[in-house]
Amino acid sequence: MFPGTILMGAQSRLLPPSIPFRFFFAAAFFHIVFWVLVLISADQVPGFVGGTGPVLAALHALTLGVFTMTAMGASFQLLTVATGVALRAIWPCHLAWWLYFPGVIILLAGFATHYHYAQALGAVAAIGGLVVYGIVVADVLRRTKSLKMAITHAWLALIALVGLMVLGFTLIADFDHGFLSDHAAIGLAHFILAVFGFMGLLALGFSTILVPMFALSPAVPDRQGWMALTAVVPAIILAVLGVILGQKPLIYGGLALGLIGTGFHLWCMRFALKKGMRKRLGLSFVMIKGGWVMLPVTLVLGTAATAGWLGYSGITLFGFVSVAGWLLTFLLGILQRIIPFLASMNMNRKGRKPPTLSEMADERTLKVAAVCHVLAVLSVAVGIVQDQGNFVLVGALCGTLGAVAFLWYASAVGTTYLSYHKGGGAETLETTDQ
Amino acid sequence: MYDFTLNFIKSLHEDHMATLALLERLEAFLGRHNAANPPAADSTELQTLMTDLAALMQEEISAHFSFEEEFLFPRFADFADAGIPMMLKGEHDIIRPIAQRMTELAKSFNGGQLTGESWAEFHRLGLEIIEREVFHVQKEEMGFLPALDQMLDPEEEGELAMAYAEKKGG
Repeated sequence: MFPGTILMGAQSRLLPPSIPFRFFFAAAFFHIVFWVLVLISADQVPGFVGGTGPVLAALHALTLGVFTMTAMGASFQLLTVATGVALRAIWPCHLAWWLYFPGVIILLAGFATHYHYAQALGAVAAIGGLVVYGIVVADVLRRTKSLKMAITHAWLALIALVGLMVLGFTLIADFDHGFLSDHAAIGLAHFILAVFGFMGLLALGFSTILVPMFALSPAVPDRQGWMALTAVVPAIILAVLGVILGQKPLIYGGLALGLIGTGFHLWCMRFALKKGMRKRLGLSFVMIKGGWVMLPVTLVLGTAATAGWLGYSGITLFGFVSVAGWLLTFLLGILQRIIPFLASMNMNRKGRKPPTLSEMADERTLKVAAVCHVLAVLSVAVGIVQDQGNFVLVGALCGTLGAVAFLWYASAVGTTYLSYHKGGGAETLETTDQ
Repeated sequence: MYDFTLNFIKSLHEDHMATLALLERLEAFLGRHNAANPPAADSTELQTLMTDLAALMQEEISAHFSFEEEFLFPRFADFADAGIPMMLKGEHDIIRPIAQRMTELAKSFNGGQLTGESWAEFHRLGLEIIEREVFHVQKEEMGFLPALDQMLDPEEEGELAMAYAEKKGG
């Protein structure tokens, strides 16, 4: 099966654009929320290892608000188009949204204000949305006969999602009732399941479809792709068990296997780019490649933090680089590619000339977003290592500016899309033919 | 991308590769000479690029597009989905006049008629055709051609290969 079935019959399986785009715009919105929360809690970021407050809210603005929101939008739209399996109904997507979006807002408010009932209410709603999402995706996966590698990644990601939801709710209950003997260990296990299990596996799986599609390359080699997955899954299990049981050898084993799996995955991605017909892939792939570089860096930092070589700030640095250095960088690259791509796929009215991808929005805003993102990640990382809130503050300011620029770009694409369908803003074919 | 089995589809794929390679050359060239900064009219790189571009544009329009529209889109519509060929035909209709105008400009540049105004127009059209053609090739390579390769009867290959050769030769 070729990865590009994504475009074969895609028009007939495109969801109403409002469905994927509401998730993508929400992700862009929570990106700003993340940096603003880091900004107002800059002094607390270095040395953060858990506990309610604005830093925990910031972390979840990123994981639930940006990452999971992107995963939901991408799964609903791209999985159905790529697999050729249509959703049975659209209403579960709406239901997932109306449970998840307000749930995340209430949960973040609860974390930021230490208000337990808001945390519980937000968690119940968000988990409800995720359960609906999981059922919809599982139904598509169950009916899919092709794209075995990506589908297996998605199944395993859903299993990780169940695990992280159980642990997440347990942690929230423990904030009020204090029944866990080692809250921090369960928190770290929850983090690993969320970032490397659920999001990591989805990112790796979707990459085997999206990267060959954008680079116009053959499908990634089966052998290396499966070897990556074969290493990554036990890596996550070992790391989670090691953290919960307090067994460092298990954590080291997980990190080593993770590095091996990462090596195979990156080999597959390099293969796709090398064999791809399209070599000039633009700024989005600079971000995506940046994310790829940061993945092994993250695992090396995890090893150093486990060994205690990074001192008190080690685990905080590992956590920050995992979410902001690796996943956020990677996802910003993916988002800036798929937002105009999906908008364009929905702009093919007969007799009206659709805008080009670059005409949809001013791409200079993406350059601003990228530069600000890099400065923000570097500055906050330095702040964590040096235990200096001022560096975190400067980084958060850069990050906020970059996040605003990114939302500006996404909004401009949305405006172009609406303008096209209202009949303005695009030439007719007749005009071009003159 | 997919390992094609039918030879004439391999030829279409090779056309796409040649098109993308040339468009990447064009993109790099346009990056070095913006709309307000035309290259020297007697530059060897300009002359070579314009010659290659004019040849490719004409081939892409006269042979590749017309073969697809005449022989492949109707078959695809019969076998699978009429919406896909309609969408691809719509993209041909957008790309075709841009390519024609670029061909005229490329020939005029090689005839020594490069002005600031004509370069600005060429630059604008060049950036537009790169985006539109890449997106179009992406759709054909990732969906249309692999599907055709699977759905067409191999016995039809001879007829289609001959028709394609005639288009290219004509």
